[in-house]
Formats: sequence, C-alpha cells, structure tokens
Amino acid sequence: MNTRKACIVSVILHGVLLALVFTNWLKWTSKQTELITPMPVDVETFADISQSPNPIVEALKTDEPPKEEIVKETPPDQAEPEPESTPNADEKLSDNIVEDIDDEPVPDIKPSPKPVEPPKAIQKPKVEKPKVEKKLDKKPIDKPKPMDAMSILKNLQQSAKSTGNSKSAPAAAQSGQGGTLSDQLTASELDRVRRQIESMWNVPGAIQNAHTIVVSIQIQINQDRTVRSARILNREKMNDVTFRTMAESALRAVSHFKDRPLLLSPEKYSIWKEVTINFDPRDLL
Amino acid sequence: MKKSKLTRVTLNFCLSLVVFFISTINGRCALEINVTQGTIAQIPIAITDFAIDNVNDDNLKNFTDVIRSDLKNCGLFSLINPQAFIQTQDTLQDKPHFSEWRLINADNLVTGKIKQASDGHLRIEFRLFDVVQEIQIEGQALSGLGRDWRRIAHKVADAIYERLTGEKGYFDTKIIYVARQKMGIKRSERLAIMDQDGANNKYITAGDTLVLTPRFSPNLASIAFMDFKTRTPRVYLMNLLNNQKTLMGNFPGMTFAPRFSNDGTRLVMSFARSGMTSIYELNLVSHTINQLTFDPIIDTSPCYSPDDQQIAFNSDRSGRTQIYIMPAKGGEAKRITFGQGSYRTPVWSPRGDYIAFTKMFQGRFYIGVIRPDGTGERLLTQGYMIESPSWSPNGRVILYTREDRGHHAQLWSIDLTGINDRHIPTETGAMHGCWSPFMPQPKSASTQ
Repeated sequence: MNTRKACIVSVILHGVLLALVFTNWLKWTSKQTELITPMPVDVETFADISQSPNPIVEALKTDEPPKEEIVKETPPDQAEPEPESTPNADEKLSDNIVEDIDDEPVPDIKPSPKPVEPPKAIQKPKVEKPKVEKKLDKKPIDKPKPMDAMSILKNLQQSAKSTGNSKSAPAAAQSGQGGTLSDQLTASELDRVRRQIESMWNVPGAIQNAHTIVVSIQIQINQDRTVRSARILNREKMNDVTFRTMAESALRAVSHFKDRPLLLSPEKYSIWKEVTINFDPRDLL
Repeated sequence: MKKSKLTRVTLNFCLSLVVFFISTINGRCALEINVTQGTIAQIPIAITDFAIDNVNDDNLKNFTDVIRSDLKNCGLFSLINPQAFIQTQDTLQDKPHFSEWRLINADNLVTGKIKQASDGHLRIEFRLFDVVQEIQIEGQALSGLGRDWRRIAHKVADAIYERLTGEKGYFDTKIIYVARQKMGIKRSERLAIMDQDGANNKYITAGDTLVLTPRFSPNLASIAFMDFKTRTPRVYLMNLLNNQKTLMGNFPGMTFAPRFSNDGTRLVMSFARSGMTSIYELNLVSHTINQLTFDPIIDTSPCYSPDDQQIAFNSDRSGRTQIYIMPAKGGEAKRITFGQGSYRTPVWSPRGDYIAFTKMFQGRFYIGVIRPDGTGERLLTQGYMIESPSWSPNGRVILYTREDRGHHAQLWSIDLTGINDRHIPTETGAMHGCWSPFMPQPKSASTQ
C-alpha cells in the first residue's frame, strides 16, 4: 500500500517537474528580444538660470579696450578728486563683482601718497586657495577717464620729473601709478606667471587633434593682480566643438585668477595690465 | 606773430612726440605669454541628487547614481563626494552659490529634477554649470517613458561628457558578447546583449550551439556571428527583432570573422579551405559575393575603415602574422606593423585615427593601437590571454576579452591613453564583446 502511495506521489511530482520544464522551455523559445528599440525621448534646451554677473561673459560682449593707462600716470593733483562714488566707475565695477559686492559698502578711497601694500602672495609665492568671501579691489585706478592732449603732456612731464627724482620714484612704482618706459618684465617674472597659469590649466586630453589647437586669450588685469576680464582672440573658431572645449579650458585656467593674484611685480603694472596668453598644448599632447 | 607761430610748431612737435610715446607704451603693453604645459587631470565635478517631484518609482532613486557611475567609470572625471557639498538642495534649484562650490574644488556642477509630465511621461531637467566662470554651459529637459529611466540617465551623462570633453558620449550604448557558463558537465555559450555598464542583460540564443564573434550591424537591426550548429562553422546573420537566422553565403567550407561595412550594405569575412584562408565580401543588397584576396596564405580578421574605402586585415604572407591595409575592392596590400611577435585582429577606430590590434610576443598577449600609416604604435595593456578589441562608438575606449590563468574570460575596457583599465561586470563569463554604434537619436529637439 505504502509502495503504491509512494509511486503515485512520485508520478505526480515527475509530472509537475516535466510540466515546469516544458512551460519554461516554451517561455524560453518564444522570448522576443526587445533589444535595441529606438527610445522616444524629447530633448529641450534650457536657458541659463545663473543670473550672477559674469566678468568673462561681460567682457566678451564689450570689445572696448580700457583706456586707463594714461590716466594712471596723472600726478596726484590731477588725479585726486576722483570721487569714489563716480557713477560710471561703479557701473564698471559691478561687472566684475561676485555676489557679496552688494552687501559690502564701498570703502572710501583717497589718493594716498604712501605706497599700496603689496599682497601677501609676493612674500609667499604659492598658489592661494580661493576665498569664499572675496574682498574686491575697489580702487579707482581702472576707471576710464576723459583724456585730453594737455593732460597727457602734463603727465609725461610729471613722469619725466619723477624719473629724475630718486625719492619719489619708488613711491610711484609701489603704488602702481605707472612705471618708467624702461620697465621690462624679466624672464623669470614671465616664467613665474606662466607656471602659475600652467598649474591651473586642465588640458582636455580626450579630444581628437587637441595638439593642433592654439587658443589666444587676452586678459585685463586689475592693479591688485587679479584677472578682471578675459576674451578669446580667435573666437571665430568657437563653432568647432574641439576648439570650444580647449578654449573653455583655457578660460577656466585664467578665471581661477579672478580671486587670486598673479605673481607679477606691482610696480610694472603698466606693462602687465593687459596680457595675451597663447595656450598651445602641442608639446603636452 | 612769428613767436606765436614758433610756439605752435613747438606744441605740434610735442604733441606728435606724445602720440609716439603713447603708441610705444601701447605696443609694450601687448605682453604675450605662451603656455605650453598644463595638467591632464580628471575634471572635478559635483553631481547633486536629482530632486524627485511627485513621481512614485523607487527605481528613480538610483537615477543620479547611474549618471555618477557613467562619468566616474569613464576615467575622465573626478566626482566630488556629496558629503562635502555646502549648498543645500532647496536653494540650489534657484541659483548655485558658485563660491561655495569652488571652495570644495568643483570645476563643474550638475543639478536636476525628475517630474511627471502631463502625458504621464517622465520629464528630467538638468543643468550643467561652469563653477569657475560662473555660467550655465548646458541645460536640457528630456522626456521619455518611465521604463526607459536608465537610458535617460545615460543620455544625461552623455550630454555632460560631450559638453566637457568635446567628444560624443558613449554611455547610452549596448554591448553584445558571448556569455560562457558551465551547466553541469557541459559548457554553454550564449549570445547576450547588455548596456555598456553591464545592466539590462538579456540572452538572445539558447546556448545549444557554440557561437563566437558577434558583430552589430550599423543600424543595430541585426548581428553577424559565427555559429557551430552544423559540422562546419559558418557565419550567420540574425535579425534582432524576430531572432531569425540567415546563413551568409553558401560557402563549401568554414566562414568566420564577419564585419559589417559602416554603411551597412556589405559584410566582409574569411573563408577557409584547403589550408588557405581568403577574404570575401558579401553585398547585402545585391547578394553578390566578391573574393578580395587570392594568395595561398592565411588572410583573415578583415575590418573596414570608417569611410569604407579600405580594409585592414592580418596575414601571414611575410612569415609571421602582421597587419596589412588594402583597398576595399581588393588590390595591393600595404604592411603597417613591423614589430616583434605577431599582430592580429585589427579593428579600425570609428574616428579613423587608430587601428586597435592584439599582439602576441614571447607568450604574452597585448592590446595596442597603431596609426593607419604604421606609426605611433602603443601597447595599452597585457595579460596571459587578452584578445578581441572593439572600439566604443566615439573611438575613445577599447573593449576587450581578458582571461587570466585559471579564471573565466571577462570583458574589460581601457581608455585610448592606456589608463582606466576596468572590468565590466557580467553575470557569467564573457568574451568576444562588440560595442554597438551610437543609438538612434531622439526624434525632436526644441529650445525653451
């Protein structure tokens, strides 16, 4: 009896097993491969939500070169009563300001005969970390001023006087109010800046033929040696994705110096206030 | 009167002098610096969790992780740890606080949200910011079916990759491979298709016969592969919509190593008979067959150039197996490899700049690349048994099979630069992987 029961159970179980195998087999063989079907996806492009002022973009919009260099050589009696609240100056500055500028009162800027203290980076020529709350340079030096021939003549006369006067020369140089015509950046100074920029340039090595691209960027530098604006000189190639990627990496490299100073000699401001940087990765790639 | 004229002349002279000095000064101000060095480092990027707005699908919690994983695995990005983020989700949707992102050394920032569109589809919105320049450099909204959430995530990763590297993204792509598994005492080989990151694995053959070297057709509608179903292995074409198999050419012998032309109209493969192997081309439109090589030697592993004008193949015509290039219609072949050892399985990069190959030298296997003119040979990786290189559709990454002594064969990928040698996870042993071309593009694009 027991044997019979066992046989029946065994037959039933075998039947179930066979049924399972058969149904799975059917399922397996009838399986369709919905493998590579085109996915209906609509893509829209968004406008920019970042409303924060962008010095670089602003700079790209205006091609006007700053005209401040002659003005800077104005002797104290000429330059002096440039009030810090000049509306034009404020407008200019607002282009360069990061978020916190609105909250901070503009400090009174008085023309001072004593030299401006050079930033600490001069003593410690190491790369500074970005500061969250950047104290912006609000010196009136970058303000464009109306220029007339007589004032230029006076400036040059004054400049000639100051070169002859050994005491006043260092003061003028320290304050960055224009160097003498014989000023030059030494090879080591150039090399120092070059290395500083190189350390910030993350070259997009993934792109094809990257080694054939040279990006030229013109930067305007504030007197505190931070970058005020930058624009790509060979901008006509920006439609090329490869060039655009390389150009943006170069722009990013110089933009790092919006809030950290370049290692330049303050007394040679008139020489380095505008610099063209050619980013050429030929040797690197 | 005369004196006043003299004064005027003097003044004019002085003014001219001033103008001269000014121009001199301006000339001196045009200082130029040539930057020829830089760093080739990973791009630091912060990817915030995509906010989920009224969508009940637990899968979507992994949406951001898929994007992060894609960008991390490609080796070109360094992801900022989310625990280091300072700005919170609430304020981020309005406007990023760029200074806070710079503080944690992020060069780029990604934000996004997932919503349910009115038609029931998913709507994914994302924005990519350049933190250093403080601008949005990409912003897109993608709409699609909820079941396709993974592919949409890959598409977001593709858009980010493309915008930051200048190369087309390859994350929304597939890999077909031979899945090898032991079933009791028997070993089975099945064809399988999966996403490039190993997800969504599907088997497309039953494992009753040995199958090898699957290749995608350019339109992804079919695959060509070698099947040992009959006593003589042959090349078959399988339609991926209905799994229907078609024998490719009625050759009186073994056919193998198939490869599609890039326009999808031709299939090139090897045919072996009486100790010699020749290369044949099958026209898939007119169903005609052309023999391309004729010498009594072994010519095999043919592969078209991206413009379909040339074919790279390996041949033992000079003694050792080396790589040659010939016109696509046949003709004189030019040898491009001259190194020690033997060179096999040439695969032309989709960008056309390199040919990947397998090299065997002193008992070791190597995967390397060489320019089509025979210069610039570089060996990228080596192993006990590595073979079957296949390019990602953007020509940036090489997929290959690695089988270490005593281990199952596995799929690996390596960047063209030789960095980021990475295992691709599969359920079973895996070999002979073939990367798909780019997937079909979305139907429409609009600007908001």
